[in-house]
Amino acid sequence: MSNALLEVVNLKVYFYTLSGVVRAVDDVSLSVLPGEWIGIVGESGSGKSTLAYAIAKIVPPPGRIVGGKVKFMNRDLMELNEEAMRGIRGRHIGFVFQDPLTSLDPLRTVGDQLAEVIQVHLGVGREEAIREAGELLELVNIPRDRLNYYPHQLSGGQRQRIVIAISIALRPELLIADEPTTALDVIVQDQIMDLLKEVQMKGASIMLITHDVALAAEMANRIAIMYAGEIVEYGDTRSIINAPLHPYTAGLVNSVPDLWSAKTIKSIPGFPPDLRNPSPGCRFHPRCRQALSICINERPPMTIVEHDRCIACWLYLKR
Amino acid sequence: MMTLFLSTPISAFIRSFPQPAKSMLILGLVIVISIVVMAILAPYIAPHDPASRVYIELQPPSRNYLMGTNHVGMDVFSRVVWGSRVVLFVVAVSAAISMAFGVPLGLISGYYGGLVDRVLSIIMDSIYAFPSLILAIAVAAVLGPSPLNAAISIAVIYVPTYYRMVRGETLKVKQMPFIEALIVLGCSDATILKSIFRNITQTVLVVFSLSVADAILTEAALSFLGLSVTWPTPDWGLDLRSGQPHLLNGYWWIAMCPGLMIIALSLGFALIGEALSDYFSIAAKV
Amino acid sequence: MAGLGRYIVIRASLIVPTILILYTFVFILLRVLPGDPILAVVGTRYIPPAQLEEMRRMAGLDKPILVQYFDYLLGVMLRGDFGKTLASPIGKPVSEYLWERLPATVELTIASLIVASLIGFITGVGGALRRGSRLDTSMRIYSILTYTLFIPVLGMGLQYFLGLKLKLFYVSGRLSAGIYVPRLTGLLLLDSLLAGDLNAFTDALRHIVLPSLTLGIVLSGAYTRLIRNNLVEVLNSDFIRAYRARGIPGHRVAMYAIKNAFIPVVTYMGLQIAMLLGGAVLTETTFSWPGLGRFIYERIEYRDYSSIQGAVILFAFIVGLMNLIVDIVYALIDPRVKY
Repeated sequence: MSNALLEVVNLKVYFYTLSGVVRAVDDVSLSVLPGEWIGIVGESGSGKSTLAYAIAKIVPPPGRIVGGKVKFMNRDLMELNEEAMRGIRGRHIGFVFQDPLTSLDPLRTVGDQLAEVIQVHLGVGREEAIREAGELLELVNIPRDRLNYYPHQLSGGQRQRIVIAISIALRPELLIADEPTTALDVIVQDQIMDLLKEVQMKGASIMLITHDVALAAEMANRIAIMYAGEIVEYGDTRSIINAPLHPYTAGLVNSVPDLWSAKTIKSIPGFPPDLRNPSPGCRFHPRCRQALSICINERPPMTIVEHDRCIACWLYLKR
Repeated sequence: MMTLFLSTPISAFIRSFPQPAKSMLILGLVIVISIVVMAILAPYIAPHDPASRVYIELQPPSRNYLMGTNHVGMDVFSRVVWGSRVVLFVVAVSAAISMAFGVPLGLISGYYGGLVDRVLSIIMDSIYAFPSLILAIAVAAVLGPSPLNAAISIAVIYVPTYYRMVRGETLKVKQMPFIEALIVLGCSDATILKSIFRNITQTVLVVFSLSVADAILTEAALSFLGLSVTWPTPDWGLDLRSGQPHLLNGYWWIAMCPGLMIIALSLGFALIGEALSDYFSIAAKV
Repeated sequence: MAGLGRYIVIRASLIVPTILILYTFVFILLRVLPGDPILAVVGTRYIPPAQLEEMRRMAGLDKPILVQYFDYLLGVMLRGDFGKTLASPIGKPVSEYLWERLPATVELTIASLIVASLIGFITGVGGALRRGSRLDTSMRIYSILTYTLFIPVLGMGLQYFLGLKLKLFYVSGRLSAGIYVPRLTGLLLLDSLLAGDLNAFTDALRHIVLPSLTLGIVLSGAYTRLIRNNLVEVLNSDFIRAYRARGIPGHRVAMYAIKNAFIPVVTYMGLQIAMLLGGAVLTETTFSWPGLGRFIYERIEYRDYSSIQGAVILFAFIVGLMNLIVDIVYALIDPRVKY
């Protein structure tokens, strides 16, 4: 019996495309504690969004979950049927997607979409749902009369607030935010992050999926770094940022510009591997300056190096 | 012969197509090439005179008369073979005319913009919105029935098709850095237009294939309505028309043999067009 | 609703130039092209010059071309006058024929649209839900094939099998001899129901099945493709994934997806009107369906160019009107259209 809210164990999600099997998420394990804020950081294509979809079992075809376990609130989600999963999505796991411009139905008013999720999950009448929807709007700082607006009549920031309002309507235990601010400008970004912070203060766990290390460092108390379908390092934010161990993490951290220091920004040379037939060894080795001969042929296992800090890299493993 | 073909750049081009576009392209080419060959070699392929009585009328297909005989005892197969010449002639002439007008107008309209572009666009859009077949019928009815007049009528209705696609592509290509570079370098308009044209040939090719597929049906429609050749010249659309009363009495081959040829030829071009538009990822509407 | 009223007025006024351009285009084509309409009617027969002049005068061809242009336009706009027939029966108002024939075409096109959208909906949704499957590929082949199906050939195929062999439906005309339906709307299916005559209704139905199936199948391919592609796009869109992530039941999500996928289909219906009316000419000719298209065909044989001009210009008006209707429907169903 663990006290984790969410536990992902050896999760594998493969996409069966015409040109081969893409191992988008390969043997990923991680846990989320109640009330914590975890950041999943990786480049685009690293499988971080797919990981999020897999947790709610909404991986789009031709993707399939081919192995592993997802335990949420002490239930094994892999055992649940679609009906039971529907009761969890929206109710216990909320989602905020990247693009607020496209994650609302353009043909329905925001009030309808907000009220719908309340009606579906709580079985309350429409009037009550609308009233609650109005309260939710005010909670995210949008005037109640916007209920009758269509998405195209609102700004990007307002729409993202509404998306958040929908996702927290039922006070889910876990809120997964997939690049929630990438499509927004900087000031709006801050406001959205503040809003998410408030949600966390009320007791929810937040999983922030982002390519932006700096943002994750600012918000999350723990960070997991994903590369090419695998988690390569995770631990508490401070130690990851101050003393990154994995060469990839170090590369990411060094690529962040810093206003106050004159350090030179270094990008990581090379490109992520083709996930259709990744090398049997460490997937980062072709881009790694410190690669050892073992890195080419053997995959480094995930190992605990200090308290709550794990890493998958041969450099830190005693053989 | 075969090995020679396999080593040409054309075959390399065809082989570079992904599936299912490749199958579509090959099937389309086979259909079109066989019909063109049939038209060219008509005197050698057709076993009988297409326009005179050679046997008892209304006989079903047999070994000597592959597609049977029609209501006046003509050999349907020979008529089908010779009939391919009319449709190919009309379609080739009309495609040449409509390209000769549509492509330059589209280039000029897209490149220069301004008033000329606006006026041309409104006119072309209006014609495009109108039922093309009805327009062709009206023109052909005034010009009088003849293959050349049919070709002119068909040409009129496909000018807007070329114009719209070429104009749209020109607007896109014009924005590209290499064209802007030519403008900055002070090249003459003729040079720049030539350069733009080279970059839209793929589009023209796709529009050509798809609109020819459509033009074949329009040609067949005009001759079906008696606006192209006159009896007893062998022609698919006309034979379809004259065979209909007999089809309703059970003698299906007189109408259906030329009718299915119309579909086959149109399908051949449509398949080529589909494959090319897949390959170049051009969304063309005809 | 005041906004909508204004929107309709603006849209309607935008249709006017389109109709004017079409009218002008048809007018120029018919007058400037070589070929004297009067001589075309006369053909090889000998007619005294005086009588030729009389015919020319009756057709209004003796006046200056600009006068002809405005006379005809005003006649159509103000009095619904489309000129007089030039061939037997000579001198009858073309408009009489047009109004008599119009309902048949309207009935046929409505029935064909229903057939086309039903087939298009089923095949398109089927292909989209199983994209990449063999079903999807066959739907694509179907849509290419319908594009090249020559209407008379398909029509005759159906006549042969469903009419001649199975004797399920009639192969020509609108109504059997001896059956009479009082004319209210001119749409036989509707009129026979209004008259409470079930026998006539069945008869009319058995006549319209084959022509509307023919035209419907040919049109359906475009819908198949359009609905499939739109639905694939919508199903991959973020908001559908967002619906699922909120635990909204599948049937509701499907409904929202279809609603979104259909908006471009409405726009396309506007573009397809041209194809529909062009197809109607061939369908009507194949099935001896007494509509406007068949009328054009009949008048071609007489070289009655003034009837042809009248019908073509009436078609131009229909195209304009249908485009207007599509615009309004579009505005009603898509909240993003501002009015």
